[in-house]
Amino acid sequence: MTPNEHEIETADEAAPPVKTKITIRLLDKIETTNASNSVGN
Amino acid sequence: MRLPRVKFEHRPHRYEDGTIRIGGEIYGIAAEIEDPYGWVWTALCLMDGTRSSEDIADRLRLAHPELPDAESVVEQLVATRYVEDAAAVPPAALSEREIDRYSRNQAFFRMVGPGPHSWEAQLRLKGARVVVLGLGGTGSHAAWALAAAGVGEIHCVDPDLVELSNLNRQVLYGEADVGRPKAEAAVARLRGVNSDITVTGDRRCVGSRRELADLIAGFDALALCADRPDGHRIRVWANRACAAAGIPWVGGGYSGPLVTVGCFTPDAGTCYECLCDGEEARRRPGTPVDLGGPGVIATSAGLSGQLVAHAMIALLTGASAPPAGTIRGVNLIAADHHVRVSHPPRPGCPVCGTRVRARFNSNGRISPA
Repeated sequence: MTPNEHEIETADEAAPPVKTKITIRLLDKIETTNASNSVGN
Repeated sequence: MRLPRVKFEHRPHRYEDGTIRIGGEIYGIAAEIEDPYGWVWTALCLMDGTRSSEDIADRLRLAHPELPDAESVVEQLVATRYVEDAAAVPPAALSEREIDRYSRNQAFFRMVGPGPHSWEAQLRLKGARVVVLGLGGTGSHAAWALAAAGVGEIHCVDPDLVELSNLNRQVLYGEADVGRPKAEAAVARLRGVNSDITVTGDRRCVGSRRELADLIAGFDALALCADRPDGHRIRVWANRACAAAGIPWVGGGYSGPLVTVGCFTPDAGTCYECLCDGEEARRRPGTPVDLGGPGVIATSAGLSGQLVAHAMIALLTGASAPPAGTIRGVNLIAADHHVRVSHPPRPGCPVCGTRVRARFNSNGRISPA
């Protein structure tokens, strides 16, 4: 797990959501942009 | 955090399936959040800088009565780099002039860094004292960048005079400086770049590890941009002297189109000598390594110095994880060549084995523990 991934709780899909599952996943290189739109100011 | 607010740069977007995209488009920052029940989206929308964490949790619970742990959701989101404290104000230690001067720095640190207070990084830079050893192609760019960024005290050291052939790459000097000591010209130029910091200079060479140890005494970090008596030997001196002093150091250089920077801290990662041993073992035995030659242009020197400065800023601020214990770089004639030298410490290494832990004190300064 990277520092930006947070497993807040563990989901139990078979039961009512007494446990919450929230995952923050850093995107992979291929999912992000290589473009720069800086105008240099 | 008093008033959590999603940072402007990281404002979230929700896809049709409920997945949240946050953190913009840049690799290393951008992320997705699974949110099948809409709880996270609600929490993020509530984080507009007008409510406390407790208020956000209360409203989140009202909107989603089935949510068992609203406080935990808020707490976890607040801990990410995507949320800042809207109640935070610039620290009193920064003047209005400095707030204006470093406003773009602050926006950068806010974008890349964690923490509720994006001025903290600037405060750490202001409190830092750095030696820049070597004011040539690498050191002139590094010193300029550190001064422009607002490092509070910079001590510039070089034994040479400015030569005409330096002017193709050494950004601190002009034609009027030819024949002038580099240390003197650099100090004058850097004071012109930033009069809010302290810049000092010394025209001298460093001839031994002891001399280097004396030079860095009382400073927080060393930017090693010198290649004499030779690039390897002075880096070994830096490796030993900085480890003994408990301070980090960054060393950069170039060989034609190959630009590299090494970043070393007293409490993490592999030391320089261990990396060198690892590289030696990787090579075919007997292979000569000749990094000589005068070939350099402004771009390779500039990249080298800027990479040194950036690694130093990362070390001093903690705003982005510095690549401690590695050498990284680029090859200007091979776009797919990304240098990353990483080896484990040698068993019994006298440097790694005797490290002194460093930390930031309450004034934002690195100090031995």
